[in-house]
Amino acid sequence: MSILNLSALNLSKKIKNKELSSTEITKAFLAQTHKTNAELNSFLIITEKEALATAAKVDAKVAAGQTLEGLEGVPIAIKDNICIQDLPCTCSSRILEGFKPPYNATVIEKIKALNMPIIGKTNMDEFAMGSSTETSAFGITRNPWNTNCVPGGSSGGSAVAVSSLQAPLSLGSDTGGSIRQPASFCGVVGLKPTYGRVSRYGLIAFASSLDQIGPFSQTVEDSAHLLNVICGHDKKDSTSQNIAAEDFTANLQNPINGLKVGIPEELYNTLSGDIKEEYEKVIKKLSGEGVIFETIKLPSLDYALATYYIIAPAEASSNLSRYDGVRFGHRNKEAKSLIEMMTKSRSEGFGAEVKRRILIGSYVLSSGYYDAYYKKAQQVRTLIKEDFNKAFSTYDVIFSPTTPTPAFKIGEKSSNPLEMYLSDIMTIPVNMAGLPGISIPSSIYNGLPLGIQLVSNVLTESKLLNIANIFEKVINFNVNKNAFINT
Amino acid sequence: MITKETIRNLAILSRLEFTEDELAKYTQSMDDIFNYANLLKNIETSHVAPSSHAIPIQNVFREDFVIPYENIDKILSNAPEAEAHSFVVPQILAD
Repeated sequence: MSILNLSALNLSKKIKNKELSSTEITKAFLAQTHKTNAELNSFLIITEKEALATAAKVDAKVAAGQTLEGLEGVPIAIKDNICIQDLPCTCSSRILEGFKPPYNATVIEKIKALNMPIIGKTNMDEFAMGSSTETSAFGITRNPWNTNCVPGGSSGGSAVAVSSLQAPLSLGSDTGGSIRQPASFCGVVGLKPTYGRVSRYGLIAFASSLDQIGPFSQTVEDSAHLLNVICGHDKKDSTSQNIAAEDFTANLQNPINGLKVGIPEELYNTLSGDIKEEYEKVIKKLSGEGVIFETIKLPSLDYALATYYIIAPAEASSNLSRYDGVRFGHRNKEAKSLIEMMTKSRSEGFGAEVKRRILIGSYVLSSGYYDAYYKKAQQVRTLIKEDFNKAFSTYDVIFSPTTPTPAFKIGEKSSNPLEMYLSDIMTIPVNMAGLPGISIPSSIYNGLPLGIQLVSNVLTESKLLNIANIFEKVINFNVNKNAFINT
Repeated sequence: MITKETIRNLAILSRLEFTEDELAKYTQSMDDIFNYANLLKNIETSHVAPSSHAIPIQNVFREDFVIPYENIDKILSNAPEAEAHSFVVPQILAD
């Protein structure tokens, strides 16, 4: 078995027992990245020198007989909206071209403290606004399963990095499904933790009340290990939750007999016939293991998408006011006045979708529309939270497809924003309620992966990962990835 | 109903400028989006409190003390134009 096919946990074990060095592993993933990136465009920059320096540090520790911690020495890829000191950080936007953060995001501090070699920064939808990675100012990213298809978004590059074996792990961010949706499209595991579980310090803000950093991996177990690394209270993020540390890998093997799973009909009934059949097979397989599935009603979910596309742009229009050409990023040099400079810099620097979200946000926050849209959306948000709350008094976990369809063709939805937004219909309610959600691959449909989304109550990631881990074993989504290595 | 005039006004508020062609495109796509968003009118919320966050958020207080920051040059190195520890911008006040 090639190094590239090993899980992050197995790689870490092999470094510890000296079967493989961190340098050998890092070089193998870098080689795969170099070989495939021209076609896939999942990486905006590859940080070979830095990655190998970190790997060498780990190997020196091993040689000196020092004990390694957790995932020490296992490489990782980072979405380009997470700041790494002195490396370009663009959010896939021209407006941040040339910007080098003077500090590390808290998650990067943690990854660096653990000596995990960083392979590079991954492509994304501009400012994480998109569901296909097509709004990047630096070119589209392709889905390794079918290069005519999108990888999903906004964390498309991070999903492709793990899917195409360019990295065993990656980090993305999820505001309305930006980890789970691309994970589903690319046949990998993607986890959005509870809001506040992971510090957002150094994550470039899109919609602050919804954004959360989380892992991509080949297995549920690997995501649990990576969540252990990145979670925790941070005084630099006032919304990070101050709660006791726990080991998310401790309960992965707990039996799940008699588990009660709710399937919201508002989501499930949107599926087309033959895709529904694929999910029926998965449900049947899991029911055979003693899992109890019941259809439930969460009426507010019918309104979640509309709510999201008011609240997220409202927050974005405020967050993106900082890009004004004054302190960093692109500036129009010809402008004669300050206002003209700001207007021209923003108009040249932002792409079409980002401008649309700013316009939507400015509209719903303006007087006369605030009550009808923004306040109304916040009220519906309360109802979404309440519906989930009620469901969790009876059900351990909520089950749905992660997406209504498998990966769509490049260009298929880019001229119709509303249709693009509708591809997030399954994942968005989870962010509105701040819940943890995970996507795991469940089957192949027309040569493309489908995923299931599992959602549990706030701060119950241990239980969620336990259930996902057992489901993963039962579903047994076992794909020969050698085709990806030899492309 | 979103009109070209709506988008023109929003552009000013948002510090953005558009060509006529862009104005037409944004008018159309925003109109589609808000026609969809109007479905929120169908849900009764008169007695529902609004949520700005998913979880209860409290103000975080700390002692007001100075934490020295040494990295000023690195911050200024990102500036399009800087001089004497300041960001340089075009003229703010009219002549």
